[in-house]
Amino acid sequence: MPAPPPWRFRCYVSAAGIDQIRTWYEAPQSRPIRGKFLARLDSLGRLPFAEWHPPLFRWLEGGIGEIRFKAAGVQQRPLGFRGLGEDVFTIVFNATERGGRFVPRDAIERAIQRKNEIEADAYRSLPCWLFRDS
Amino acid sequence: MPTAHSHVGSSAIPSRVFLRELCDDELRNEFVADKVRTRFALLIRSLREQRGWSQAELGRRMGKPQSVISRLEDPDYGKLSMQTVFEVAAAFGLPVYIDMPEWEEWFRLIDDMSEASLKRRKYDADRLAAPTQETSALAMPDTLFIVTIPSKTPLDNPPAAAKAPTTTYAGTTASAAMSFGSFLLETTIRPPRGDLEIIESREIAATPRGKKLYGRMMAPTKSAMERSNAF
Repeated sequence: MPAPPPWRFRCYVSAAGIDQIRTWYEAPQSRPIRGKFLARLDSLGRLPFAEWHPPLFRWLEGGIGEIRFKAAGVQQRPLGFRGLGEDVFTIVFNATERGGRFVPRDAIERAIQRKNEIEADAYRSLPCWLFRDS
Repeated sequence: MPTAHSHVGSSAIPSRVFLRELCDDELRNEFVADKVRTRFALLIRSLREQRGWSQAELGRRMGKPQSVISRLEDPDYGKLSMQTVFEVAAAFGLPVYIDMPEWEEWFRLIDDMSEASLKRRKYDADRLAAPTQETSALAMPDTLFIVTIPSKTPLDNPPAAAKAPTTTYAGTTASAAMSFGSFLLETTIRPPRGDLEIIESREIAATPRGKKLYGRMMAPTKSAMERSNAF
């Protein structure tokens, strides 16, 4: 029987029912950004949580952590939190970083807001479409 | 059991949606490059930390400044030369092996990046020259082991799926796998609660029925153990 990896990813869904992370991914992102995003999710998804640390990942504040990679000359910072559920990481916001500052500047606050929305209503997140089998 | 939002197909191959994304050549090339760079960066740091070396110490052994080591441990650093790979390997006393394998094999090889899977022993002629009788007869690396774990499962009716190559197979003991001894199996094992259990096996060669089972020892990594807990 196939063994699933230790981690599963979920994505933030807006009040209108739109998967915001998928929308970001399917927007005209460059292929290098998409390729690296896939690679980092795949790599983190196969690591025990105790090994989620720099350079691949870093905890910030308010229970928010950032997936760290550079693609197309830009520091990409998908933000998320651990939950809901065992061995689940939910991506809530796709920020970038420039000059040591998030773009947008309030990325962490927005990520925390989305985390709160999901914690209040589990239907505000969906299993990451990339890991479904259809 | 795979869920709607897990990797599916095998423990190493991603989902169909994921694989379809990789149909794009440029995207796939970036994916592969990043996976390889990430693994190599994590490997260098893991090996350095296993030896208790600082980045400066590794740099000293390579004749490079600390800043070079810092870059080598950055998965986003994209200018690693073959010569540097050899120099890093030499500093750790390890060999280098480069290949362009079949995709199935690549996914399997790149799968586990956990710290436990990145442990390496340096060159040791005495160890290399003293394989067991069995490994010598098979002319296989000294990482081979013989499964001699007492069975707690009937041996007569192993799951049919277990006979297929590259099938993931869980929930029985290593010696249970010996019952279908016409196969030489590569196994991943774990100690769950007393006995060792096979969590993955695949045929690597045929051997006459009744012979002992040999397999390539893959350390029961923490991540593999966590994955196996899903069974």
